[in-house]
Amino acid sequence: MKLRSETSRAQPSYSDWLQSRVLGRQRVDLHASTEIAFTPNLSWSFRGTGSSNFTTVTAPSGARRIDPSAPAASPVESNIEKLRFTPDDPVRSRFRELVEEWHRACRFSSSVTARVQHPAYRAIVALGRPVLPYLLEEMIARPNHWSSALIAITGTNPVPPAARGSLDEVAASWRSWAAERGLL
Amino acid sequence: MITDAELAEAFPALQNYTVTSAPTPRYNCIAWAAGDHRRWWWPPDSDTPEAYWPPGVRRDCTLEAFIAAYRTVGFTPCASGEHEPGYVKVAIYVNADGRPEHAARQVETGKWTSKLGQEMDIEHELLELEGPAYGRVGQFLRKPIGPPRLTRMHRTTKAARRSRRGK
Repeated sequence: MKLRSETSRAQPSYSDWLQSRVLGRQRVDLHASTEIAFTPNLSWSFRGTGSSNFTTVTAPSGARRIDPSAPAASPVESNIEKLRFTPDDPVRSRFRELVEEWHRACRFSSSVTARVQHPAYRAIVALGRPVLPYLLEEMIARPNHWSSALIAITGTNPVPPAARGSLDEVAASWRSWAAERGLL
Repeated sequence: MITDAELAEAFPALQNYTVTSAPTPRYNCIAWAAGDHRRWWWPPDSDTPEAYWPPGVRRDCTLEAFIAAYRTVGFTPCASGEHEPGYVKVAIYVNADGRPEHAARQVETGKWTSKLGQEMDIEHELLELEGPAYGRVGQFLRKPIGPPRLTRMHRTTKAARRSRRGK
């Protein structure tokens, strides 16, 4: 995949590009053969290999590029942020490894304290915002004790007190939260 | 899927057991022993949504707090895990520091049912789960098996019905 600069504005690095995206409310899945161009107004263009035309997507008013260097505890406020799933995303690969390690290590433990303080769990939290789409995906597909990690990364807790301990209800709260922000 | 080797490593004494459910993280051993199969019971460190803990009970990982939690669903301490007709019993396993790690509930046959973390339920002998994962049994609790106690609302309703019949 190639990045093509069309602007004097500071361009994100390739790793930044992998980790963050501003796509308005649209999801566009790109492939390795797609050529990307950023423009000054936070819109971006893409074209597939062999195509002569760029398709431009303009970010709506208020859009901002996710800053991967922002503190993990900062809330994800914008409902226009989109993080892209890519099969070769190193964050995703690392996340899957850590999830498996955590499951193996904590499978017989009832202690929530031990579960959320396990090194693999803390390593997932340390991945920060780039891991958010994968964490949400995991929480919704296979509800488990991911709320503490999601709270640490997003800085918000959408789960009502009455849902405590009910992983299905906890997952539903996060699903609603993510859907309201266009993250699903 | 868990293997026999993984089970044997965590529970070296486990021999005579039966798997009675599929794996699920929806509830844990503490909830299962209390008769709740919808929530994960554990004293939370903060207001985390991860765990349910009975309101008003100390939120620390001590045997006293766990006994208090089980009191909220009718269990009181007792001396042994011997099967007593008319009672259901719970055994709390504690680690070397005396902190609770696991709980099992006795079934009518005298055997015990346990939820293994986020894995499956099994029926087993009480001491088969003692070992490196869960420690040893540190406390027994019991509660009478009987018709559910009438709540205030039920008593009021019955009294009203008797009153109406009297008229």
